[in-house]
Amino acid sequence: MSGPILARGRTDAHDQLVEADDLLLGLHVRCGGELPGPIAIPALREAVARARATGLKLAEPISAHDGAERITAWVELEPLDEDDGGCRIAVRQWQAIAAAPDDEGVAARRRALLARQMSEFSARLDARQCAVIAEGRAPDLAGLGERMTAERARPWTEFVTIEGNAHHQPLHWRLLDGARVQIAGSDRPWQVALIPVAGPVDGPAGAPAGFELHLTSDVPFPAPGENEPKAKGEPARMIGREVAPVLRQPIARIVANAETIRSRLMGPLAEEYSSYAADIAAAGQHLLALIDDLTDLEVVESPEFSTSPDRIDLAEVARQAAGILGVKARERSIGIDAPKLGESLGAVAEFRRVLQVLLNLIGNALRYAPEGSQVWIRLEQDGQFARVIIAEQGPGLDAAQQARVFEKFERLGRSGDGGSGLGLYISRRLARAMGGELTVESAPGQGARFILSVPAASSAAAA
Amino acid sequence: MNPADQTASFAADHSPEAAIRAQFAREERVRAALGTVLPHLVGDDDAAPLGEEPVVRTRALLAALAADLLRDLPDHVRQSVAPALAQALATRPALLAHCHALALEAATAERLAPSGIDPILSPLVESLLAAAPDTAALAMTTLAAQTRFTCRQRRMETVADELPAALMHEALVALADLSVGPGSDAAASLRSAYDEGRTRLSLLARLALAAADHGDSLLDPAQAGFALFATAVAERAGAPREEVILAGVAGQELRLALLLRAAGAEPAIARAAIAVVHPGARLPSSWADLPARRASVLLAGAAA
Repeated sequence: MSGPILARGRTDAHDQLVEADDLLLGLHVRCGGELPGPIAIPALREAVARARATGLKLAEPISAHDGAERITAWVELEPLDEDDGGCRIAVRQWQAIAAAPDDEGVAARRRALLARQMSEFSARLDARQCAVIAEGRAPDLAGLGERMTAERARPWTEFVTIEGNAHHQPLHWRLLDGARVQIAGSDRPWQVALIPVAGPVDGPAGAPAGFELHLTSDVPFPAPGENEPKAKGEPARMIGREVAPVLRQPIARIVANAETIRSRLMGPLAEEYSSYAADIAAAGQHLLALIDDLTDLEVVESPEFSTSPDRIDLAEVARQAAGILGVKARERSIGIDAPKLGESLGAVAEFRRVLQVLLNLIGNALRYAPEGSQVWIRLEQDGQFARVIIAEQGPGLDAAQQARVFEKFERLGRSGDGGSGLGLYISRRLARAMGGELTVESAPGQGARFILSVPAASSAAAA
Repeated sequence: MNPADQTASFAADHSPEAAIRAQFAREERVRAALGTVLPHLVGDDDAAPLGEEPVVRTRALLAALAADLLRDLPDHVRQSVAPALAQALATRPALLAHCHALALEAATAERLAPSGIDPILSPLVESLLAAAPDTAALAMTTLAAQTRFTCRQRRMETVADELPAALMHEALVALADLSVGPGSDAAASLRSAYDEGRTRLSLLARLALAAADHGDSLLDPAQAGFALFATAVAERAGAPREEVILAGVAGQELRLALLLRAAGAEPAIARAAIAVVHPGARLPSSWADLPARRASVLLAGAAA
């Protein structure tokens, strides 16, 4: 058949993917697969098995869900009867559609906003993903921008090591967005955000004119003096460095497969099976969240932990947190009353850590408050401290519970709702690391008010 | 318990009565179908799915398919075996439904031709011919396949190489089951020569994917032509293409409306498409408010 082949691959007699070009490999890996290894893209696995079983050359569209997007690709499969009896794969078309088209515009804008806010390194890329100009504020990435712009003909991917991918050719940008990378000269793990810059109207469909590249890290740059040899610290970071990466892949695979079933990509399915699959996907997401919590726990408990305070607007952080959880709130018919546009309250704290605390507090309120209730987010300044108050109409806490609620693994007798018992503990550690505090005021039957205090901007200026 | 269940549950029963009951169950099925099928067969609407013309065309297509599957065999073998193979093909529901859908598709395409919808070249395909080289080449190949299809249908013919892979496999199994000496060699050579990527239906699906950014035109039969329209609606609604073809037959307006909703077509787009395929169709007024998901559920429930 005519037309270019975007990617090739080959499987063996046991439907293991043994060769694959980047485009195909990227999706395979994002579905939790490895090379060589069983085909992780459910629709492809099924089609390859069918081609081998019937001995016929197949050509069909396959759909796959990698957790964030629905990918539709045109594949041609040629069963090989010589040598190992595998199958040759040719991919001729490739389309990625956001999983939730309704909210995609909003979600993309929000992702872009967060990526820009938290970025420690930014670059403007051209359509071939080569850096035109780069700018970084992280000391450990100091040389990266110069290296990228000095060799402008080379795509940015050649200056980093992409986890789970040994190749260096530029992948499709959607497969790179969200990828984890390592960068020479930095010990910290980095995450990629790629924001497409709209192309000319008459350009090829879906091909952006360029990209914003942002690199963010979960681990702050160690402040001077803390950058001691970490012989002691090393074993304490076992989960984040060793356990989490190993667990994430199989769980991502569970989630991808369950999402595939849930969204009926493999064909019609009885409603109840679809909701079982939704349960499996939700359980997988909870496990991923738990891994994140445990990784955070290690970070906040490690002796070298510190935050990077900055001048921030608590009202803006609160509005973003409310926006991010808006969908979840609507699902439970809970109204979130966030600070209005125009309201502001300056503070000195680390933007994403405050966001993390607020997401935890509002998330709890959405989980435990009754359906149809209201969550209020209020701001106040009290002397040297700026405060965010999250008030909800949940069952409330008695004095004994209030004393225990910030303890590690404390669930207050709850179970099976996906909570880890770490959120409030981590949140309080974060608040204290920023020179603030996290407290609760409540009485049984009266709801609860969680109060996050951080240094106010004016007091810091005065100090 | 319906007769089909009885057949299944008696299959493992070796009592003397079992064979009697199994055969009677088969005869009962025919009797049960009489009441529902007969009115359609004797009705005076030739174009209805069970009208005389589609039934005759389906039978002709099965015979043509059987002859083509036997194309490599000597004439005398082919002539003696072809009727039995056509019979065997007709007992396979998916193959039968496919041939029936081809007959209906050709009939609908001919029905729409006088209102300016060319069965071969549509405005969308014409504009794709002028698109980027890869898409243009694909459009050209598809156009050639659609031309062959239309000519063959006018001659009431079809070839095995145009079957979707799953049905090709079924047809080859049916051929092998006939166990006419060289039949298995013929099946092997047909199998290795087959390439689903060259079939009209596969080309249409690929063209629909390549033209995905022409979203609204794909869902407009006047723009896309009925063949590409049917492929695009089926793909987006997650329904078999045969079902969209059935929805193009007179008396199946609501099915088309539901498929269009399930495919995510806006009410205005869906209304325009229905007006083209079923001019003067009367639909329950609330159909346009039906959410896409609910439309899928209704269609799936009807199919179950």
